[in-house]
Amino acid sequence: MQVVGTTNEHEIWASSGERSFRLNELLIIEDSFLNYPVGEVIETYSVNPFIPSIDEKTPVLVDGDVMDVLNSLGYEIADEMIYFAKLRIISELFYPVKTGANIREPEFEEVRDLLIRTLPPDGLTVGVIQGTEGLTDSLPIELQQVSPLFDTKKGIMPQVGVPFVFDYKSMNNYPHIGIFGGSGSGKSFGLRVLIEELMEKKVPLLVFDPHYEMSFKDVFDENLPDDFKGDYDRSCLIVTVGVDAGVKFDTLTSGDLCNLLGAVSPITEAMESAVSAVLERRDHLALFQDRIDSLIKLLESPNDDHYRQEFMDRTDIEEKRKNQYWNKLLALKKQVGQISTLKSITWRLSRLVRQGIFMDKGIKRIEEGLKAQKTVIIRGTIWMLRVYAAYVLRSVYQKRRDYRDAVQKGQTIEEKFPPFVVITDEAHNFAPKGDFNVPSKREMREIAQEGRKYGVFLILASQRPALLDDTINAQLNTKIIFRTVRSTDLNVIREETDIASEDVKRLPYLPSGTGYISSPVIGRTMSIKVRVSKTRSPHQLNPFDELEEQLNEHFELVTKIINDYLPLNESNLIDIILRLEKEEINLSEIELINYLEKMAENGIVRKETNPLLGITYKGE
Amino acid sequence: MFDKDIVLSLQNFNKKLKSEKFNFYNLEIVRKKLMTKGEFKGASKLSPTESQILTNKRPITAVDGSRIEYGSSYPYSIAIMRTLAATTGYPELTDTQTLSPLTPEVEMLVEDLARKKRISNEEALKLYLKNALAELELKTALAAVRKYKPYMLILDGGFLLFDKFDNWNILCEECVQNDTILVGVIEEVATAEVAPLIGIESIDRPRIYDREILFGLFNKGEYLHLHSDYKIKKDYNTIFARLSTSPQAIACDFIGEQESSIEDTLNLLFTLSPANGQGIPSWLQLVDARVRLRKKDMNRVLYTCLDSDVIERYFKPNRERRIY
Repeated sequence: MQVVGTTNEHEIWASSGERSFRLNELLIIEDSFLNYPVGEVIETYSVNPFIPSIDEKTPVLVDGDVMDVLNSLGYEIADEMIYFAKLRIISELFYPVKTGANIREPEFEEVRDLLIRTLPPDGLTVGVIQGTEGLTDSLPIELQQVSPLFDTKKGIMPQVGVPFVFDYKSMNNYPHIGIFGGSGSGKSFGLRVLIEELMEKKVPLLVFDPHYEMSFKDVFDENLPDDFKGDYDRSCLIVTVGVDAGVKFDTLTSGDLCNLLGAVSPITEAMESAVSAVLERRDHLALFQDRIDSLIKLLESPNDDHYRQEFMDRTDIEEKRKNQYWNKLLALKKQVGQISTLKSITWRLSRLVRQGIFMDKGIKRIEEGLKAQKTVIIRGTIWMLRVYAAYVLRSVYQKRRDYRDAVQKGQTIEEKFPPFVVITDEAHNFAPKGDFNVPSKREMREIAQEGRKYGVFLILASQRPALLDDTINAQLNTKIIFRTVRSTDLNVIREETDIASEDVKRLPYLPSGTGYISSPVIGRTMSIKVRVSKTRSPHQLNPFDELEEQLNEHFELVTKIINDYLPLNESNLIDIILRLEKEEINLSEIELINYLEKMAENGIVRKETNPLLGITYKGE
Repeated sequence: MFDKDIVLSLQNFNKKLKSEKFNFYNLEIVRKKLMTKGEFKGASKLSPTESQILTNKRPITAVDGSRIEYGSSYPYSIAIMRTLAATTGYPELTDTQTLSPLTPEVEMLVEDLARKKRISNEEALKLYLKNALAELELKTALAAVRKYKPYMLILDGGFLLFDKFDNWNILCEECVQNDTILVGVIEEVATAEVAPLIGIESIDRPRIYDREILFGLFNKGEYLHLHSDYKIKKDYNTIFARLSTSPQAIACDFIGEQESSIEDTLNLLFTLSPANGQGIPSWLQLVDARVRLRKKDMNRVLYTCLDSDVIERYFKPNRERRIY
């Protein structure tokens, strides 16, 4: 291999007659004057000067017959192959590289600083760096087999290449991570690996999980190397909005409540002012609801006196407070005045109540989880999470701020609150670009812009970077990009990262699990293959496999029982169904026939069709 | 646009070349006449297995050279030569030589040649370089024969180009000893021997060259093997042949000792020539393509190796300084 053609100080061409170049591999250029710079292969080519190309009218040097004969005389036209590649110089040079300089493959130690900033115990081992396969043999022991890989066909594979270890502590200087990629690109897989690594480091995590897929108790595969397996069940705390996590109504401001109501369905300004008029400080849900109901009745009654009679007859209010309440209602009537506004509020509110979001448990558990350096996973529907995220983030972020500010100002510390990382998939739903009034957006933005000061970081995954809020996008210092197809998203990636245009062109064709990391932490864009995850998502089963599995379930047991009842006629299956019920296998007649059909397919029973009796299944 | 006169004179020239005076011979007659002097034979394409049996799995070698010059008028020029012997399935052998009349030895030789041939120094240099390259090719060929003992050695050009050098006889001897068929493939036939042989002459022209008589004469794969009494050049056997769809004939020189191998060799050469190519074996073309020195490379290597004041003072032609 050697340098050919005209060079400059940041790009060179290399050619070789013996070996082809691999994309992203690192090579050492033996130019002693420049102190042996390192280049990364960014484009590769091969050409055979004796095989005419399609666009040139080269005289036909070789035709098939001639080639066969030359081949029989010992000549291999493949030996004429010339490989060449464009290399980007990684070191900063002030002089061009010497043309003709030799190029060779490096040993790991020679390029260590370009590949590894931190060792696995102090960083997040996310995967392997593509193009470093040739360095596997010269890796030091501490970097070997820390990142096994996975191939859908071959299963779990040993680590080949240099591990990519992300120095997460440098997030202090370069905060926030974005993970982008379309469905099936390996984005969720990458997010899972990142979370696993952060859990290993006992970093408190706040994960919003609209897909109900963030559980870390199922081992990815029994074939994982033993020292690689991990159990994270005990480090996780899973809460579901409306089941064991909710909002404490008496802590809500009218803005909060409007956000919540708006999440059900967008609200008008009139509704907002109605809410702010009706809601009192430290209000209770029941009192708020009652106040609105009473107000509606007052507005519906032909005149005030008519309703006053009814109101004064109520027994659920203390007598001495009745007058005060009545006057309040009259004042509210003047302020609000519109029945339709109030009714709109009522139906939204009752939907929230039905979802169970107003719950006194509030967010205490979430806070405790974070304080215990656990991973708190909050589940819920996306519309619910958008509202709830705003509420939770404000609350925990405030706690962390208060604590940091108190430390800063030397004040007495009331409550110690740890730094934490906020993680969510489908981030564009939580902080969409444009004028959408999504409650969580304000909090996300605030953390994106100044969370670093307080040790609060974001890891946001999304299939649509183009739909994510611009301010937040710009603050994501580290970006991991998986396969992306849409041109609008590609444009955002082009603008927001230093990924070279050749690499952007490759983005639509990346295999699953392969991506680029662009980060000031590592200084240059690297292509990586994500390691195998230690755990798996509960949805990992293919729904079509699920169909098969349904039939395979109990198949052996059912087969055994059926065997006792053979021959069986399809019109008389009741005995066997009852017998199966004793084994707690509940099958309908049709389902049982499915089993019988499958047994017939597998040759376990023989199927006989009789014009009078229908189908009979007989033992072999 | 071209001048009207140029166009007219070219049109006239075309007319003249196509006139009867020029094209007085008829292909059928030429063939008939030639049949009395030799035999038209058809070569056949060999299968890979047949080729292996024929060559007894020995390789074939082709030798070619290339030369390139840089400079202004005599003696301010420098020539680089490279020769290459490529053998199927074995490493290549190359030789190189750099010559300039600015060195006294070369200057002396060139001027001797000019005196002897009564030509200008400039022409003498051309001739000298041509010979030097042929001699270098011969040296490379000899090395290849000794090292690989190939079934066949293809030289680029007729034997007359080579046979004035000392190494020629050694090469012929060693080829005969090693049972290596020596063949010189001539892409551009430049002799004028066929017309006198069959008694065709023209009062208007001193000479009728073989090229025009042989054009279109052969069918594809056909060759002419003259009886041993008729020799085109010295004692060599010269075979005219058409090895592809291209109607222009090529020629192959064989040494007298190897006349018996002509048929087999022509079969092999025909097999190795692409059906739609120029009618010469592709192995020779490959060598030609690989050995060729290009002006761009020449300039690059010169500017790298010579100091720029040397280039400016001695070599750089003034025309390169033109800005148009």
